[in-house]
Amino acid sequence: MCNRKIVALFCGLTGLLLTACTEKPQTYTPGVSTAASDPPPYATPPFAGNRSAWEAAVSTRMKGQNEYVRVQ
Amino acid sequence: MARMKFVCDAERCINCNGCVTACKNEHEVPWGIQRRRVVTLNEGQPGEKSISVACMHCSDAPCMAVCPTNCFYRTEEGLVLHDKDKCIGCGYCFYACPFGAPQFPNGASAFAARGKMDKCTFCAGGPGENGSEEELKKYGRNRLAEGKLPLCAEMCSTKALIAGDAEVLSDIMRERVLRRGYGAELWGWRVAYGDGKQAQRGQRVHAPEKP
Amino acid sequence: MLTKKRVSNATVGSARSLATPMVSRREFLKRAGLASAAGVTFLGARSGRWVAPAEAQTTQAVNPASGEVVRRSVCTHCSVGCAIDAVVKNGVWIRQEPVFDSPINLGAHCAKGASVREHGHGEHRLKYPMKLVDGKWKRISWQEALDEVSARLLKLREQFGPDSVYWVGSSKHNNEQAYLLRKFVSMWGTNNCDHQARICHSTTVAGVANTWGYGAMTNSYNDMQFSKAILFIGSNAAEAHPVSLLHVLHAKENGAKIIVVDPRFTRTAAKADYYVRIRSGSDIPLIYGVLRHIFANGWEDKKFIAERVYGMDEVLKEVEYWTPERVEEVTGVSDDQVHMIAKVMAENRPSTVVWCMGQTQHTTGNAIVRTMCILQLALGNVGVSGGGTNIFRGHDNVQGATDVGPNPDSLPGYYGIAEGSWKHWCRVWGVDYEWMKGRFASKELMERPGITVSRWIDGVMEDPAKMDQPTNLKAVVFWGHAPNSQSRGKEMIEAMKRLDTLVVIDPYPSATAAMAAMVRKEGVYLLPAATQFETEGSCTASNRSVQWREKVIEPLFESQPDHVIMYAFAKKFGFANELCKNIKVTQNARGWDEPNVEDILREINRGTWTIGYSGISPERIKLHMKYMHTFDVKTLRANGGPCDGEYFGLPWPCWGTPEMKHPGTPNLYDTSKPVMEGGGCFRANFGVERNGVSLLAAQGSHPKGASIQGGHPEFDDKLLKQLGWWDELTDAEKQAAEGKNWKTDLSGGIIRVVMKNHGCLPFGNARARAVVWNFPDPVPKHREPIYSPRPDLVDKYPTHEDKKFWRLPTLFKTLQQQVKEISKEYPIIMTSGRMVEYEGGGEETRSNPWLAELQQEMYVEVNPRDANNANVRHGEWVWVETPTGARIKVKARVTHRVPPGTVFLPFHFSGHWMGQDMLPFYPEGAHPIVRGEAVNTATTYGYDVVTMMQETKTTLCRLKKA
Repeated sequence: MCNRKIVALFCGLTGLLLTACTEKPQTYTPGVSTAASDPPPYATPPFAGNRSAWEAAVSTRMKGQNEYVRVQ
Repeated sequence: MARMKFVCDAERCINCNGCVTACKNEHEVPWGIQRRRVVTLNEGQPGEKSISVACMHCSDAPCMAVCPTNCFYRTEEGLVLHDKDKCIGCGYCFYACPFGAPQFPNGASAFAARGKMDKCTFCAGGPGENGSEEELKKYGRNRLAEGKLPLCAEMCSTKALIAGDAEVLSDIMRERVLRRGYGAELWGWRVAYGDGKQAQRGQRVHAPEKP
Repeated sequence: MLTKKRVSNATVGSARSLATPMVSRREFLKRAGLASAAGVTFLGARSGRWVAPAEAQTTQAVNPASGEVVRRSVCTHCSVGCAIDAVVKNGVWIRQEPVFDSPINLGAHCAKGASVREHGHGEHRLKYPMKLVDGKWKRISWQEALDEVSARLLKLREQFGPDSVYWVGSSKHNNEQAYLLRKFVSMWGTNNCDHQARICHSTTVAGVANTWGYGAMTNSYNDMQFSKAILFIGSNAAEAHPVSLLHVLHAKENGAKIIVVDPRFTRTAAKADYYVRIRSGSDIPLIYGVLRHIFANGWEDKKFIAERVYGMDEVLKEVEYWTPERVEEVTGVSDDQVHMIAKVMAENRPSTVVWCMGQTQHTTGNAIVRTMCILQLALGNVGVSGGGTNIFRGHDNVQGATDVGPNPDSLPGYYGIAEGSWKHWCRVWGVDYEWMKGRFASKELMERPGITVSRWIDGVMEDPAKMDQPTNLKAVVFWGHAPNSQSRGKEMIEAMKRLDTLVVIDPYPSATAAMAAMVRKEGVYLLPAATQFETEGSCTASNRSVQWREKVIEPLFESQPDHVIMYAFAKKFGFANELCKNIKVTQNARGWDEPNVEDILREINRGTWTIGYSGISPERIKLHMKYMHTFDVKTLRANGGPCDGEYFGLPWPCWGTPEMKHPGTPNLYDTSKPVMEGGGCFRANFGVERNGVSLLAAQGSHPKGASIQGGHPEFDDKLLKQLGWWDELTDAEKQAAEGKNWKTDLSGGIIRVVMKNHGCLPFGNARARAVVWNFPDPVPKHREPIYSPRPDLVDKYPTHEDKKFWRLPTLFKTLQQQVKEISKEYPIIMTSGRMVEYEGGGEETRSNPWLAELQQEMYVEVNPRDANNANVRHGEWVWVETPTGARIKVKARVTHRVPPGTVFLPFHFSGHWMGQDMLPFYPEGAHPIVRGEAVNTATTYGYDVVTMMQETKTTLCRLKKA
């Protein structure tokens, strides 16, 4: 009886311990984002870190929205 | 690059819903979730105006301010994005947002139907590797990382909805306004500055109830 | 809001399964055998992404890193012709990118265009052939379907003759398929074929062509940027042609004044400077009122009228009749508004007019559109950039199908069906005229216009003794046409019951299928056709520009492209060799015989000299698709590059042979340009004089640089000899042209000589006719609709006498008198129209979840006053009842958009029948997501006196709370 209780308690504690091990830190700092990091849009191919190339590409698309550039 | 914004030119928006289906198409947003929608005022009467609304990517975003898990973040381009792994789907941002941008899918799992809180990403995905399978699953396409702009704006039927650096957008709007010869007629123009020349040109609309 | 509600769990139903698009995509990949073969999933395959450049995408270029290929196509919904770039990987259409280079849409799309990719994986379509067995749909094999259908049709042909089968073609077919179907039906031996144009713009085509030559949009969407004033009347372009507003609003931004005349305050009206509310169907008096002010103020273009118009004096007499009081009595429009329209149109020239089905779908449609032409002639606005009659056509290829497709009164290119026309086409097709004649029941029937699609139900039910053909219709083949777009749905059900055989060939045949299954036990066959994204071919936008669609994906499920199905039936019917004598036939990926699409277009090129499809070779239009960015957005003209000087899509007429390099005609009848640069003049198609008055243009009026400096008749071998131009033909050309005219000279020599050497148009140089003496009302006259809300006006302006035409007796005055007082019981005008999310009969677009979500219910727009009178609130169910005894149950949308006394219903719905959901009658899985009552279940009798256009815009109804 007693043993069984001890085993049960032990299992329970172990379980709790294990759970705690996988728990992510839950500290909360007001005003600081908890979001995982997000690489900037130019970080990956096809721009692969070339920020100016990316800016040029996006800028072309942005200006292209003005149809007066094409229609006079 | 300064701040990425959307602008919807109410003088041009015809409520065609092209932006809405473009968004559905690009991100496969499930039925019932509208990251973008068109709002019409004075429907069927002189003065009818439509405008396409999604997340405005506010510079001082109320959703960010109230989020209990602080899952929002602002990118270098000024976009307000969030981390769905941190989001608890509480809906407080929905309280805070003046534009009704946050959407709450009713999926089987947290992410199957874009889960927890879902909103317009300015076609910039979310945390994690750009264009990765995981990003696509949780947030949709990352067009920005392909050097493209949000598809809703790029496909707008009358180029009413435009997207990009606020400075460039102002330039585009300025040219339109100059050609029109009256107020910008952006949403809120009259509230801010009163009736412009538009009132003089007027919508000489006469809609008698009866012939 | 009524139509934008979010779907709750309780009501989601079938739509719910769509909530997991990723899964269905995987399933699709699995089905296509691609997921395992490539060892990647759709999602995983994205790692090596490829940025599609904003500049001209060379089509068919495979990105080696990602395996993605971009295929260029054109939206398959309305007639604007928006280009689409489809990104395809492993045969799956994975993304859709805007085509900024297109001079037509600059990348822009409405809801429909932005959602066409859904076609690439849509589940709600017919997947395999089916037949009705004991009232239930049963899957059958293609072999079984072809065997049984052909056996049944051949038996009917033998028993009752070829005219017992009716072929409803399609404006959704590409040019090649539409053309091949006309040829196919001819070889079957009948003129009983038609397509959507009958019920959308047939009155325009007839009325406008009879005024000045061609029944098509004179200018283009792009050219409207040059307009200083734009009058929309009977057109809600903001919903029906949304991307046209890109050009219109651009014009407005630069000072153009916009006027909208409509019974409804439409979304187009919301963008206008002026809005005028008119009583439905009273357009003619309004325009006469406008003309009265124009002439009273001397605003008419006197020089233009003197040089280029015939019969304006006669019109003036009618104009005199329409005093401001009379105009207001009939139209409800006050004189100051009528004056305003005249003043704005006169003081802001060039001014243009736009009309659509608000004008065409009336018993007087042919006359209404002619008053519009007269208005533009009076203002000298025709043949002018920024002017013209900008007639917005409906479907993506309705213009092309009208030009070269299945029309009951004409062979491709408007050649007519007289003996000479048949002989011309037999030569082009390489078949013997006598053999062709033998295919028909008689020479008489070969040369008699067939029944129209608007009247096929009467072809089934009318007493054959009263018809102009020996038999009733026993079988109908719906080949890409929705049944709910034809009026008198309640009677259509009866006609469907009586048919021996009903065949539906369509990607989305479900509306017809469900209607038939509701009343029949057997004799109905459904064959899955491929969409236009699953084949290649050309299509003609409203502005006559022809664009080429590349095949985006292979046909889904068991579907086959329409021309492949045509060839399969031709084999069964025994004329496959004749059908494709000059067309290469190869095996497609599934082992079916496929007529070569480019070869079909080349054959079209060889035969259609009349409208200048002759110069539009596949090679030339493909080059345009590739170099879109070199074309100017306003003029559509290429500035440099390989297409230098040509107009985008070679808008027809693109005269002569492709080798002649005509650039296409951006604006019809424009004398300010030389003919080899797209200039022109009015066509001499109606003789050279009438009652001693010349019908030819005055001296001094001619296309720039023409060597004949005034009017002249059309050219033939004799005129060439008279003028001493004969020897400018080569010997081979002389041989071909001897005894021929410019339309039948297969060498194109006559056209070459008169155009290149002498700067003249082959069709002559004449005056436009303000008086069309061969029509029932030579000068357009107002006549009340058959179901008029105004018995007093019926007495003053009665409709036509009953008459028999298009093989059928047709009621006008008899019926109008019968129902003269019916407005006491049915006091509300019922009109119909489009909404932006759906198209045509709507079965296809209502099957697209991205669109279906936006409009989930059929509705009636009703003014608060009428709603209160019927005790109906916004969002409640209401019965709309019409004099036919039909009643449809729809949601009330209470709005000021419509005036008291008028209700509006969109016509894109089907799937409910007088209060019942027809879901049990659909083939499993092929039902659209959104279903609702079809407005045409309730529409009434009434047809245009020239073309058999159905009257759908003015009828009567009453509202009852449901």
